[in-house]
Amino acid sequence: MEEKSILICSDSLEGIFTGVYDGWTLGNQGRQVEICVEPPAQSQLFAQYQTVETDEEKAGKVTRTICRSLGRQTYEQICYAAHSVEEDKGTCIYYALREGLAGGKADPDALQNLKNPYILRLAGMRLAVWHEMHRFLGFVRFREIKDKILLSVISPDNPVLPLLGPHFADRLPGENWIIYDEKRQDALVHPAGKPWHIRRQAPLEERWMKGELVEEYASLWKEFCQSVSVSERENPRAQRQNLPHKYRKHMTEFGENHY
Amino acid sequence: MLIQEQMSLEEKLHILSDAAKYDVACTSSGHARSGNGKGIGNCITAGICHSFSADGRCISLLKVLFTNECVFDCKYCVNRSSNDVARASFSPDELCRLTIEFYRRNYIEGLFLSSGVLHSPDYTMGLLCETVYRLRRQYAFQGYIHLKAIPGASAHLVEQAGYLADRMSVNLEFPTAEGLQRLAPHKSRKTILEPMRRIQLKAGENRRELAESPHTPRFVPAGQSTQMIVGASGESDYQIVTVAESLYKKFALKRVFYSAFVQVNPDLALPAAYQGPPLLREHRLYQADWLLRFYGFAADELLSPNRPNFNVALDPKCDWAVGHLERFPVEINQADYYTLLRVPGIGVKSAGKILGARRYGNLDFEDLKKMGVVLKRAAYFITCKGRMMFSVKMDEQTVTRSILESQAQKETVQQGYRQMSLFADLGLEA
Repeated sequence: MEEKSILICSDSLEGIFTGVYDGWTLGNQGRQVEICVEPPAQSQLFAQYQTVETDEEKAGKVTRTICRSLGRQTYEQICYAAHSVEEDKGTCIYYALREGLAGGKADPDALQNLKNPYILRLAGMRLAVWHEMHRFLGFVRFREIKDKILLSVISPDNPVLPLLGPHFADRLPGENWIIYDEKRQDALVHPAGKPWHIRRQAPLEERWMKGELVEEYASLWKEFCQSVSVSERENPRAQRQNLPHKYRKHMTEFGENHY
Repeated sequence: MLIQEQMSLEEKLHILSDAAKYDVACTSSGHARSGNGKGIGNCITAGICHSFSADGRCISLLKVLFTNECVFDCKYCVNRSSNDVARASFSPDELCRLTIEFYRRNYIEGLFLSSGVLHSPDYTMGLLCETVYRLRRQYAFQGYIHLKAIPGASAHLVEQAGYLADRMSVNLEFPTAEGLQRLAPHKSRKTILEPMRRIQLKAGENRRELAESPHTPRFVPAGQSTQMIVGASGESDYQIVTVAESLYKKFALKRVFYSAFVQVNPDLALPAAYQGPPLLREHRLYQADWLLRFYGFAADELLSPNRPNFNVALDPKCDWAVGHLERFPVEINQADYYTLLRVPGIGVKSAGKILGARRYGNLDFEDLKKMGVVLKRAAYFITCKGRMMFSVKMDEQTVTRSILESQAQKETVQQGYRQMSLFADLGLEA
């Protein structure tokens, strides 16, 4: 039986790309490769585990190879998939790249080959992440906590914070704002006029989570959402389809409180 | 009418958003603009939905009237001069502050500003321009602005507005000039089509200028749209679809919106709407609209003077396909893009996927299913490697019956229809 190597890397684009780099060498030796982000869910018998230290140089080489040989678009798609919550994302990226670079010939359209099960799965992950990111571009709600600082709390299924950074930094460059991922306790922080960054494992102060302030504009917004609806067309099913309940918890217009 | 000297912002917002709710074009798509690092705001091509109201429609923009005072007396409109309703007006500054404060909390993508006609079309258009000018200059707002052109407003005001807004629209209201004259006596085809034409010509001119010098200010970069009320003036679907088609062709519109008539004024000139707004009809019109814009269909293929209305039970594409069985089945592994698009159950997205994937090997029904093709409908119209999925007699009745049976559990006539959004359904710009 062919021995399988399971590479465990950190859950980041750089981590996964380092895993792909190391996996490539093993794959060339004829080994079956899996790439897991830490911590691995369950251990398998007959597999060799190996922890991968994130290496920026290796990750950079993988990035350059993808961009140069498979194109910017392929790179972008892989970036979205790398932000998926699915455990096998690393493995799918690895085998999709193997397919795209098979036989030493680069195929920039490789991700269209949906007959390949890894690529099909990768396409699904990309879509799920893209869709969730896009939803949050709209569903993020800020409230002023103090000194005009804006805070938003979200609970995304996928770790999408890094994907939200560029959009909101471009949109609100002169504001101090924080988008907080409640599930992972990560914070996307943007100091006014400066670049954004992510702070991992940064629990928020309890009083901020509660939001004691009554905001005038929050009340106005609730008023608006009510009065702009046409009662003769009421359609809770369509509303639920477009805006599932799981998002509403953190949205001003659906909350009991006025913040 | 109660006249209050001091009305709170909340009261004004209530009145003026309530009065704007029948306008349907709440999209923020069609134009991408990065922030400039100083002011506030940007735009992305696909547009962004920020919320969904209880009627299931997208809330993207702060959709309000500047004022609901109106000298016009359109029979279908809640703000008509003969109605006794509470009236209110924003001040330009109030509206700017509200937009900015909503925007920085990420409630909205921008402003959708329309208005009743206060004093005269020019006076009103002037107020709208002033408001939007302040928002852009004083408040450095670079988010999305959709501005209505007031029918009858002077050309120079419409032009001024076009340099401040991303999208402009003039509502056509009714597909026939007769309907318009009967139900909107103060509006005419001329006062509606003139500003529409003006915007189109100016936008064309602007594109040529931009090609020569890229720093020219942009004129309605997200294009122009319009809307028609469905079911108030006795028009047929055929009339509506033909008018929409010619608007796309002759006025280069980005979108035509359809608004199921909601009875707000009891009026002898209007149909009684016992059954509520004609939502299914509106839904079919949007489906047909998609076929015109992205599927290469012509209005005359879908309907004719002899068959002027859409099938209640089948969507327009399915309806067309069962009427043209001689063109089917098509071979998935060979048919070109537009042939694939004509297959019920295959949309813009799945047609693209099929084209991409079949270069790597022949596709089977199982592959199609994984790609999101709706086989329940497509099965009767395609072959994979020369085989059909089921052996069904290919005649109109059998196929229609099979399709209706397969969709019976899912779609019933009574259910509500969500407004289609290109972003959600196809992932393309609107």
